[in-house]
Amino acid sequence: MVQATHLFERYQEIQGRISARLADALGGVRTIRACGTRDREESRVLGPLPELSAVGHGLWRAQRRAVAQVLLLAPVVEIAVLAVAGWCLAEGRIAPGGMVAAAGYAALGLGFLEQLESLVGVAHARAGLRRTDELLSVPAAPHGHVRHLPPGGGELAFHSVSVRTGDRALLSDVDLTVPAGTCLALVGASGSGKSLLAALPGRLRDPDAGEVRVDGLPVTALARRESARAVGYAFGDPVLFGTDIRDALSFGHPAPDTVDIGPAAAIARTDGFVRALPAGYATPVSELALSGGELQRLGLARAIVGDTRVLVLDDATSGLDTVTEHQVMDAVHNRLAGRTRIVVAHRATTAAQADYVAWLDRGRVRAVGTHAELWHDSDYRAVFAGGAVSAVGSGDAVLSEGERG
Amino acid sequence: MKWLGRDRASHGRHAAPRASRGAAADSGGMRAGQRLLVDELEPRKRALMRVLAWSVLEGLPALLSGALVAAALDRGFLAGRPGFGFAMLALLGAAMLVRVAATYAMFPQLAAVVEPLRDALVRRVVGGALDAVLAGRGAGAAEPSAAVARLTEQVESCRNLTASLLRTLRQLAVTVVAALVGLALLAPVVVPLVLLALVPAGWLFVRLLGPLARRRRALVLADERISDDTGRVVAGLRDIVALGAQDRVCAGLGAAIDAQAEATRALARASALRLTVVGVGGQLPLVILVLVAPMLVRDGTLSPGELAGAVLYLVKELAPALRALTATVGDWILELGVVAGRLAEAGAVRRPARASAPPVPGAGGDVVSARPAVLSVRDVAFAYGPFAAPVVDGLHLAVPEQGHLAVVGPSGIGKSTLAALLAGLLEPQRGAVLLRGEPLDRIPEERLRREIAVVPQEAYVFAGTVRENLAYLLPGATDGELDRAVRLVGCRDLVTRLGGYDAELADPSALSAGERQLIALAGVFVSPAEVVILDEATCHLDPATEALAEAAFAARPGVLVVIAHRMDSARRADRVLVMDGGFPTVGTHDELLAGSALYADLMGRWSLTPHPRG
Repeated sequence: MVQATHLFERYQEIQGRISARLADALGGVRTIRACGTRDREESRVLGPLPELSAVGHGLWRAQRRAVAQVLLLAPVVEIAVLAVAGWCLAEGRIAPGGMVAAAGYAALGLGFLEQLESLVGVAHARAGLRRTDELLSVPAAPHGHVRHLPPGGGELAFHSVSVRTGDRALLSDVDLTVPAGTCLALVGASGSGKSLLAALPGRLRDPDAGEVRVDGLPVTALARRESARAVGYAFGDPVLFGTDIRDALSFGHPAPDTVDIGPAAAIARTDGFVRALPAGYATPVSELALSGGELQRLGLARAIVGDTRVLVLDDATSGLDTVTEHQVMDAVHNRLAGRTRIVVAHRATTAAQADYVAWLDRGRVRAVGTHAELWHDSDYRAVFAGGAVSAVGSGDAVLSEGERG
Repeated sequence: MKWLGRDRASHGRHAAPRASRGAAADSGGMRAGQRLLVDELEPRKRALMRVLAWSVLEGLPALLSGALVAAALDRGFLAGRPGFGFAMLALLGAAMLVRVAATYAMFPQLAAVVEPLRDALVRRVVGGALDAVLAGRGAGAAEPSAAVARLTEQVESCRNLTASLLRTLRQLAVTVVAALVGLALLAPVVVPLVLLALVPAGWLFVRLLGPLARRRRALVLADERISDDTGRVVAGLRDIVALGAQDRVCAGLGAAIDAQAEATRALARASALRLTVVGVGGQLPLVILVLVAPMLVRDGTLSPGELAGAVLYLVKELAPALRALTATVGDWILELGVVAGRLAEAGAVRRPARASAPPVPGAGGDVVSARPAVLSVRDVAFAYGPFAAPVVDGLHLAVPEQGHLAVVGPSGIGKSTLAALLAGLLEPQRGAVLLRGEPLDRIPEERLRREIAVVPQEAYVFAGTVRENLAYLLPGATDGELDRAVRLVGCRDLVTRLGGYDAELADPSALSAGERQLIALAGVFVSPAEVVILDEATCHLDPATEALAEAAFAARPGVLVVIAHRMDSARRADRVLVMDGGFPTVGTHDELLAGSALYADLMGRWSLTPHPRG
């Protein structure tokens, strides 16, 4: 039984590996199509199959031993009962019918033994339970009970915030205050911690040390879900939920039926392509096949509909062409000027539009200032400057530049 | 119509195909499942025959039990010869031992049927899922997770059910037949009485199969809905938390789970009806026999021992077998039919054959520049449907050896479509794309894919070692080759941090999008591809890293085409193609600044100097 449980766990683990490989491959369909590697993908996904088969055969052997033990017990009992009944019959102590009854009762009693095999199902269930326990033992993020933010315009403050993964510090001691109603751009090379810092106010991740406050209130003091009313997010790769587009844009809103998505749709410029769909904003989400830029604009509209005091745009317009992006960002800055905005910026123009820039370098704030002030620093320009680097020419020569970034 | 997801003409944009669930006829699904099982079990015929042979031995106790007990009574215990009685019982015991031995010997044969069946089903699901997404079918967000659910759950059910049926149904069927044969030999007069009850029970059993199959299928669909919905929720957890929509999402999942529970209850209610089958088929014959027994014994048709033997056949063999048959086995058959039906539907996609375009006359290289063109485009036109506006029309291009072409234009204009045309993934309606003068549709698929590499925006990194990922397009690449690519593309730090080439990437989604792109870029750099098309493949990199990677590819032998994500990519290229609806323009950066209003506009918006707001 213990051995069977162990084998089942191994079996499920190998199965999980095959599933994970298939899920990877299905996500990389464009690459696989472009490289013509369908057959290699198939054999890669099926790589663990022989091992699965071997463990499967092991399960059969374990089951065979269990079944044989049960089957050996049955004849012993049955023959013993019949023999004793026959002896009694010969002695005249019971009638022939009594012997039949004894045999019938013995059959009923042994019927229970047949059910023993279903204990294999118990082994299966125990293995599943262990996997479920792993999930259930993950502690939930703690929440407070405050239902409403104190009055204010959305001042956002990071106090000595640090985030680690293992030994590696992703953010170290970040102190930063964003005055209410202003726009802060987060600038830095890939991996400098921009998105991670932006994830903290809405509690998409909690810092390992330090705290984040909105209008003076630590975000951890807010009741569950209230942080989403305080801080809204637009992502580079939003995932849409809900039935149709209208529902998707007001998803999570406390009063989704009454909210007007019009202004948000206008700012994010979604009307153009949504109106071209046969059912417009009533088109089911499951039937959408959108380009990255279109999806991003819907994600941005959804964040604006939330009407939060703080709005975080994390790579939210990277899929738009420069002209459309400019129009959208202009609208965000002009029509949402009252909200505190955090923009993860990859382009100099985006940073230039912000009131302040926080320049992150390997998890630390290297400098805070306006884009124009920081622009004097050549290291700052290098964060954006593709042009200067490409002029150097050969790949070897530019390597040191890249490593410094 | 081929479906590419991005940059598609708006006419078909909404129509991501989705399997219409539940629409497939119940019986049709069952029949398809039956066919699937027959197909997959066909090669296992020899193992099945051996199982059948052992089954005959396994039925020995059921065949002999009544007869031996009758002899033990009539000629042993009742005839004052207990020794003979014990001998008969010992014989029965021996038959039971033979049965144990037969069962023990049968297990490897069962494994030889079931394990290869599972392997075949896993292969089928994996191949079918890959074909489905590659054919552009089922590219909706939910489908991949459904395919994965099929892999883990439905294939497993199919395996377990086949195993259980082979073990139990086969054994029960053998028992019923053996008991009836034994009964017919011992007391022929009882057989019609038994059949009187058994036949209506069988009829009832069959009649109940239809409704049960429907409810069983509803349950399978409810299971699939749960795994579909859960997959989508897991994929979007970040968004759900950011929206504070946990309650609504949990309610939605809860509703799916409740629906599944209700389907389970509906199935249980229908199953309960089947207990009448046990009553009629299993208990009624015994009642009839007991009623007529006094008469049969009195007129000497049956001896007391024969009567006891007949009762034993009914009580010990027939009734338990029928009970097991109806209570569990009926369920298993239905479940297997339904699950196999779903698997058959899933694997039904055939790989699309490459359509060949009409031959292009005069396929010689058209030399536009002094150097011979590696990649050339001759009068190409393409639209996503007869009524859609053309993505390109009358496009001419020639990219020479070491050429570096950038493609720019507003989003949605068809840049990715052009990339697919250049790579031969789409066929133009007019004109041709040529690789060293050879039309792409004349080049064998395998060579074409080797020589032209397209790197899409969403980088493909899979669970495996770093080396497996980097050498994806050149299996067996040496460390030296990898070192060079990793250094030039700019992901040496990343590889070091991951723990070197042989470090295991257990969860690729733990990497950032930019890190995944770097790994995919290094992989393509290593590849033997002569033409590299970066389709916004650097969009998640910061500009400095992007510039480094692009410079590395520009210095690589062959041809580089960059579908530009940032306008800076255009500045770095030696030729730029501006896509502007039907009017493509090709030129150098300076020519276009002067000659293309759109290009000047795109460039003007993207300047390195900060300009004040407003």
